[in-house]
Amino acid sequence: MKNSDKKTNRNTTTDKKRKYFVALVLLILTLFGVIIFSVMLGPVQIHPLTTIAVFLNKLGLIDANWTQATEIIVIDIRAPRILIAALVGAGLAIAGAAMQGLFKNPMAEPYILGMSSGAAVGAALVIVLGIGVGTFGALSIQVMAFVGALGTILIVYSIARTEGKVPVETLLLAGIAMGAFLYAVVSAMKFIASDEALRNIVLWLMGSFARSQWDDLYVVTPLILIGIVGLYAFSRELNAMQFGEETAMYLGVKVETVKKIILIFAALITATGVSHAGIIGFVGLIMPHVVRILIGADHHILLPASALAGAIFLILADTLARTIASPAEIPVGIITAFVGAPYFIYLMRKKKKTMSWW
Amino acid sequence: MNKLKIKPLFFKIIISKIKCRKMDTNEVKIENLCVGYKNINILNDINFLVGSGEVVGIIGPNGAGKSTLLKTITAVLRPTKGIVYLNEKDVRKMDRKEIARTMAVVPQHTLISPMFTVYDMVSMGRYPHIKNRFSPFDSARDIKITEDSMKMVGVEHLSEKTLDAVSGGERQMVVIARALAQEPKILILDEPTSNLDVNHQIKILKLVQNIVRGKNVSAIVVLHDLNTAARFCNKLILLHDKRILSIGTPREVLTIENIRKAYKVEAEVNYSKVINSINIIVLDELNGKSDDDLKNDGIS
Repeated sequence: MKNSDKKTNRNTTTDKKRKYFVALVLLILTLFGVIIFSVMLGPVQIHPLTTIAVFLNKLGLIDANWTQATEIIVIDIRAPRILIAALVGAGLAIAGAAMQGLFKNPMAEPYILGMSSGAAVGAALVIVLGIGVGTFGALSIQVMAFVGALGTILIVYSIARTEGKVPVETLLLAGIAMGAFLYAVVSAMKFIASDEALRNIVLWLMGSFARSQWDDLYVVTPLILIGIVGLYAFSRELNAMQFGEETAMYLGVKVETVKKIILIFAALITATGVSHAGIIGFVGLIMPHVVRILIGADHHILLPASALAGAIFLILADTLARTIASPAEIPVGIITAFVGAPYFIYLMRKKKKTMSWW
Repeated sequence: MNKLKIKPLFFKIIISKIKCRKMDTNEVKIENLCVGYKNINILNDINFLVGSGEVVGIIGPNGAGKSTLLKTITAVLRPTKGIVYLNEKDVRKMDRKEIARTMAVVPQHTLISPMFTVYDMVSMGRYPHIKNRFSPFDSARDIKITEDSMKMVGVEHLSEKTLDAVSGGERQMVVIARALAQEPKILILDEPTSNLDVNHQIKILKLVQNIVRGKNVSAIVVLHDLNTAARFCNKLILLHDKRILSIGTPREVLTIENIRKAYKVEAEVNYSKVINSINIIVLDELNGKSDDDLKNDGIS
């Protein structure tokens, strides 16, 4: 089976390169395919080639003609929604993978430090009490949810901080406690809310891309891309930390600084995602596990592959959400769990691998 | 004829200079070290030097401050007084990566993740040398050093196995290989033989000796077993009651009196020609005798 050891290791590295390359190329191609497919579907069906032509025309690469309505549907209605779903899906999945690596806990996910509840409190303040409406106008729910999410992680971080260090166990517990507390605040606000406000909160909590527009994309894109590149830059540190924080430190990792940086990037992504699309569960928890099973656990591939898989998954989920009961919309959060959970369980059983990576 | 006379002298100077340089580097020097939390002192007045090619064992009863001393040397704890020098550099003024390039630590516990292979684990030792944040692949040089480290330790055949598939003894060897991949000048090992069978105990300590001699590094090893400490260390440091009770060669340190004082046991110390080392047999604990009693007995 094996040749000399030297060859084995060299081959391993080449194999690894090939494997990473193939996985990434396949995922990127799938992502493009899914985007085109998703633009095609809706009340008005649009031919995939037309979609591609419209995009290329928009980029100034080709010149062609089609109806004004087609261009509006592709560019103004479907494209921003699909692209935001892709970015949020990518962001949540990579943040989930980084959180799982940081906490060395398979149940970690982007919302584990209470950020979703914090965002919900922000959104509920706007929906129920009208706070912030005057200041931020139409964006008030997004701005308040963003502030709520980031405020929560700041509070959780300072609660967990002792003598200049932030033990991950304490952070996890502080996050869960804070999340429960904030969820109670949201429940209290639901209780006092009017019927219409209550309906709006419940819908917001289930997540949706229905209101996504190009203006949102200009905000979401840079924030989430910064987060993704930032997290990827710390892949090696995350790998080292899988051997324990003590070992990572002896290997030269500034553990406390790295923790802080990873939390900042993950929080940026999560706050952006949750403030624009509400609480979409499951993507951040499951996608990293799927990638670990199918591709590998090295964060250099786990992080980008999770991001791509998350994008693909959330576009598909959102497409289902807007087409399955058309013209009505189903909250995308329902779809992610409804479709994602059975697939994940199937994969888990089929691979017969335990989920205890640590 | 003149030339012939000059040549050896010339070489002698060069050789002595090379030796000098080697002797100067790869050492740990500890000066007036005191460590504590708030008002509680854990270590007082620690002074010692570990030179190149030396294996220095730190021994002492539980709670004597062995772990604290290691944590201070590795810059995990900040001393309240005194300085730890790695190659004449104050460890507190070194960056974590710089420390990792100078000193490798084999900790008592390493988390084992079934996600990674032995090769992955050993190649992590290259971390402090890698500057590229974005490439997932090791350079040819990093691969070579990783392979050489695995070979030196003798775990290259395990390369592709995941870490949950190797035995406890092999795992410890893998951790040592990772330490070697750091290309350290100083090796620190915290109870490297605890929980291992006798075969792996002796294997690992001989390996440490070989590394220290072969690479002219210095090593500090915390050990519980006095016999292994006596046999494998050039120098021993016996910690007791927050201080160094005794420092020197195993024969100087492991005397009946010192063992009695530090460990509160009655022991017999013999010399074994077979292993060319002293051999300690613990007879019984000293029942109900406090330090004061021992003083009255005229031991201290």
